[in-house]
Amino acid sequence: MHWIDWLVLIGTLVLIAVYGVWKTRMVSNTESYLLGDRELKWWTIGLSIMATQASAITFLSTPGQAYESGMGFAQFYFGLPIAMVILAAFVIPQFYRLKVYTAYEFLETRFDLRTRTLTALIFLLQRGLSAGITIFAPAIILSAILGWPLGITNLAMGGLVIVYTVSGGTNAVSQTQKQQMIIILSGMFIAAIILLRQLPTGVGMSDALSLTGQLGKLELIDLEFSFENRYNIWSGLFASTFLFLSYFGADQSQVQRYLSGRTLTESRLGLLFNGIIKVPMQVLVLFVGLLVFVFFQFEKPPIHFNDANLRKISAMEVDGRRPYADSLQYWQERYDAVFEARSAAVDQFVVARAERNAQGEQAALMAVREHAQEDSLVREEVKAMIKRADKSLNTLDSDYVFITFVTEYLPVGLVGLLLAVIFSAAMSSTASEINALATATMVDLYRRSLFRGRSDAHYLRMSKWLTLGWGLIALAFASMASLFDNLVEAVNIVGSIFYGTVLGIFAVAFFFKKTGARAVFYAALLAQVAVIVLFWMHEVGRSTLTFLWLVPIGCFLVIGLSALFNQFLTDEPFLLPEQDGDPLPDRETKQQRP
Amino acid sequence: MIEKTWFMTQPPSPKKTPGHAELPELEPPPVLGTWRRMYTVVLVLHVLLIIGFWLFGRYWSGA
Repeated sequence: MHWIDWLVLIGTLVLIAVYGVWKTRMVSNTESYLLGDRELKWWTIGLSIMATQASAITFLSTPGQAYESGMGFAQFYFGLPIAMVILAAFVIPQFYRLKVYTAYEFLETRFDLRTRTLTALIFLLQRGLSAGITIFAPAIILSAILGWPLGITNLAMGGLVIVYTVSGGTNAVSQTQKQQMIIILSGMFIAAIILLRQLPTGVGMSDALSLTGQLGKLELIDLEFSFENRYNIWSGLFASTFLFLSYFGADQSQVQRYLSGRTLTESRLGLLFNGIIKVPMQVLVLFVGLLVFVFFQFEKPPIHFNDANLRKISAMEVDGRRPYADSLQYWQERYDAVFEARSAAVDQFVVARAERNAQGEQAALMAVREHAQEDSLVREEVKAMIKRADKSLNTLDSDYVFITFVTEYLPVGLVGLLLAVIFSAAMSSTASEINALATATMVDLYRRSLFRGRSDAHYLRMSKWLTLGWGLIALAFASMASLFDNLVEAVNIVGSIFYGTVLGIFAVAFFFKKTGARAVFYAALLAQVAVIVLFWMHEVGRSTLTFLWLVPIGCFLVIGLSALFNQFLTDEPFLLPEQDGDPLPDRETKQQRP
Repeated sequence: MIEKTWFMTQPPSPKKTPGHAELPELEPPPVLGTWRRMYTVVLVLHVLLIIGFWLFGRYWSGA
């Protein structure tokens, strides 16, 4: 990498970190450290929410997804604006009214301590695992492409984050996320412009759209309902809404972002801002991937985007020979020939379009499709060969498409900027995660149940130690992650197993006001067991239900069972305060009642 | 002496504070007058965006 790229990369990341530390140097009490004195304006909240959700893998994987399968993935986010409106209307006012620090704190006021502790522990387990993955998943890709040792990449991503998150707490996280989102959005815009400028002379945006559109890659909306097709408008509008309600309403890494708002209005506006901007932002990221696809119609892409895999199998020796190097050379020659033919067909398509020759356009398009199929077959053969050579190698190379383009085709300076985009994304989501993990540990366990009645200075000091501790755990987990197979999927499965139950508990808390603490606690336990059994049945082949459906099932089980249990497990109904500000029933008094 | 701070009230029991009467949710949004209108605008924009995506995809796919 050129020294200017190094300068841009390191300069950007260090400046953001220093800004975060400097801006929050006055943090002197626990409230300030954990909630940033509730001073944030709506645009900071909105950008912070977006930065928390967008991890580095979003910017590595999403363009690759558009490259391989088109823009349909955008539908996954269609439930997000709906979830934002529901949360802004019903959930945030309750959090504000109770002046809570964590989402789980609300559950104690609504139900009891054990429900609060149970959900906080579920969060710590699930988010604690995924914090390591947030660092590891992009680090393994960047290491392969940049040739850096995995440990160094992990450390580069996690180290700076730990410094400013430990130093300034929540406020440092939000302040740096604002800068990081500006870098991310500008970087993606610049990448899109550069891609358009790098297309051959005579090939414009309209040609790019026409080519990708007629190859079926611009189908943003799939109206056909199907359980097998993961991304269609129905799963986007319904199933995703549940997922986003759970993620934004019950996951402390997000809740903490909007609880730092100066007023309820600022928090609501921050969420609605996210609801308006998030879908177009994802479409922009997908569109960049689509432009990379167009770019590689004229410029020959590698036969396999994860070059480290090719290097590894090429170097393998069997009986003094290098059989995979020979095979690879054979497939490479075939691939070169297919590319030449496909590229010529694409040129014909562009010429026919310019001449308004509809027949020529269709003929060229047919040729492009045929050669694209051949191209795909050759690439699959190479993947199969890699697997034969070493079963442990991951042959899914779509995550490497965008980073390959960045490192090999962008001009000096922009390589550093785009790498800064990816690192910023990793750092912003990791910072939120360790900040939220430390807050939940401090507020819901440490000061609530373990060490009560200590001084503010003690809790502030311990909050910093907890942030450091969770940061180191995430780093340790990231460095061990390569020891496990399918780790990313494993963490997603763990999330799906628990998210439904947590969402169900919150749904009962907000919308079923007559349901008592005992009913929801036992319903949550039973629902959790049922979800685990369903998952186990799938694992042993007794059910075809995939893990994605565990979220709505878990949620509805908690709601249904708690309604049932509430018939005989009597518990004093909880009454939320009226709009005019009636106080909530006093918990201590309530607990003394028979 | 232990200073009294925010975390001393256990569990969180909302008390009627001077600011409590002016609950923040009663504050209208900076534009459009009511929150209901704000939510409607967000959802209508979302529907228009989806329709726009659908038309965009259809136009360029030559359908």
